[in-house]
Amino acid sequence: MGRLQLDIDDALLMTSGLGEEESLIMQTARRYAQQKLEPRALEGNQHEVFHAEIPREMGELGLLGAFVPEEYGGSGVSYTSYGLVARELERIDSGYRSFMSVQSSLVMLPILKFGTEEQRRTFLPRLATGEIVGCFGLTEPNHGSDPGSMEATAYPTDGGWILNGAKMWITNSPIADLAVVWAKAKTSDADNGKIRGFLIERGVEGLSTPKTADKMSLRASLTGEIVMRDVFVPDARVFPDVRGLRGPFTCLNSARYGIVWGALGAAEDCYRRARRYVMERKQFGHLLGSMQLVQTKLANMLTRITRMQLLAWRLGQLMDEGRAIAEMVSLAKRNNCMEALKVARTARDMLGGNGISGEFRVVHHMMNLESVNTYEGTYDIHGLILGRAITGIQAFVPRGNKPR
Amino acid sequence: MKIAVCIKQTPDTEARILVAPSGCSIEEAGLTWIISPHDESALEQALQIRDRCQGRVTAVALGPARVKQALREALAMGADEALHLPCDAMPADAAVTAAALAQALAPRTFDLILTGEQSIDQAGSQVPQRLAVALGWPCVTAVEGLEVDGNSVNAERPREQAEETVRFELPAVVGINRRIGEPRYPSFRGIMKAKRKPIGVAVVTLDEEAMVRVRMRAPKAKKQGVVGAYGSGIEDTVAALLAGAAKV
Repeated sequence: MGRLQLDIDDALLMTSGLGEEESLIMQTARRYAQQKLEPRALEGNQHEVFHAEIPREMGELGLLGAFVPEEYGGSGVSYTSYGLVARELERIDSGYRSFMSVQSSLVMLPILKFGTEEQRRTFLPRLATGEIVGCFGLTEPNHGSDPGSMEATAYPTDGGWILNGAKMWITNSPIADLAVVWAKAKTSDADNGKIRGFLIERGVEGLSTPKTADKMSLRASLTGEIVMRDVFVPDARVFPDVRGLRGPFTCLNSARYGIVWGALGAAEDCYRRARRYVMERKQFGHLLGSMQLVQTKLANMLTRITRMQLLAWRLGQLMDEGRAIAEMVSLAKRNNCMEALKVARTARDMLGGNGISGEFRVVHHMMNLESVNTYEGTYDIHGLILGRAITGIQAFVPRGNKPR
Repeated sequence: MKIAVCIKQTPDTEARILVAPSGCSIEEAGLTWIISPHDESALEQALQIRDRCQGRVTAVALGPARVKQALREALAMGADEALHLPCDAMPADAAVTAAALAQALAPRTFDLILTGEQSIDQAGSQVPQRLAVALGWPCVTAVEGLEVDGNSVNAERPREQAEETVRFELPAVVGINRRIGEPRYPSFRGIMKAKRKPIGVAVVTLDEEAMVRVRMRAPKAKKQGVVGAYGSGIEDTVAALLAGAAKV
């Protein structure tokens, strides 16, 4: 064994496994996040402000849709790099990472994977620069974990489709120029329909995107609804081939992967802030950091974070090798969100009364992570995905009972 | 215009520095490295001049293989090409560094050589001047403003209670202070493009015996400072401190 000291931020040297290009990307994202986002984050979180210039700033550096090929305005970076960006943004605030995730994985990715060439050329370059902002409509007021039961409909008409329905908990919707909306394409009321993806541009008649008020979490990014009343979508703005939940789930899988890294960033920030705090504050005449209870808390935090790092890093490798499957992402998303929440709650506790204050920049992580643990598949839903994989038995729909 | 920018790779200013077991160098394992900030600002100036006046920017670095990472970063920021001057360990003597740079740069006919006025780790503030002497070029350093107009350059530098502007002709060596302006971040597209840009190698000979580092040790831990108070009793406090009786 070498005599080097333990790296107290990276105990098992995860970052030494990164490539040169990945390290540079991490560095750019970190510098941007720490120097440009952090000074605005307190205002953003406390006053529910998403600064309008942020999309273009991120776009200029390449943070939006970074994995999209260069010919469509992206940078063609690896999935590991994309994850590293999510980690750096969420060190500051989950809201900023949410904005980036939605734009990249939930808007640019489906257009890249399922869109026509014309749709790609029309939207991807402008989404990459942040000139336009996108949002993704899947969740509905009555259908969260069970999107297959969605009520939004699309009926065919001359040259296109007529959409009706409502989507809620939609990140970016109040400012979005473009919405990727999933609805059931039907020919009659009796028809169960097939889920298809539609691109709706702001300004079309019948579309509104009211802001969700009084959120106690993710306050630095905007959340709203997508309300569609007889919205006309031309055929040219429909994804031509993808049908069913495969469409939205492909996007969610990519976004969930980003969350695996993002939650890690939030946890790391909580741990660092708690560590700094206990090494400065004295009670009973001694540094908090010199007390046994505090030291084991720090040890638990570092252990959790190290496990999160290794999961994220390994999953990134598998994504880049094309070997990652949805259950792997579920495992890591489920683990890292819950672990991050535990780290954030511990950090909040270690800062005592100051942990309640926004200025100490810990309580916002704790509140944000409640959303991050909930959206894109809750802890329990990912548990059921893994349970099905382990047993071969789906348990989403309880059996032996009539629906009540 | 052909511009060379000499960059030094230094430990991250936030890195924890440990002395290596040999006792005469820092422990490099596990260190995070950066481009020395004044050099990074020099590179930013070079890129701006290139964008205004056309030309090429070559990033140049002396050092072991790890410095290629700094060159790659310079390429990602927008440098057109890079030149690596390999050596086993960084020289302890700025004269040796400057002589090595001069060997590599003299035959390559640059119009302008920019570098930081000093490195963030050793802070010797000697390389630009020594390099200029070796090349027989004019040198201006501590520069906080730079304007290139054809073959003529105006450089601003601070003086006590004043600021002066000097004009000189190219070729020249200019030492930049980071206050001249924030360097750009390497964009992701720049990072991806950098993979395809060349890093050339120039073999240089170093007089490694000129100055040898014989010992390095960690600084002694500083005692906590004491803030004095005005008013009555201060004499007693000071007396107690001098006597070593006060708890500090």
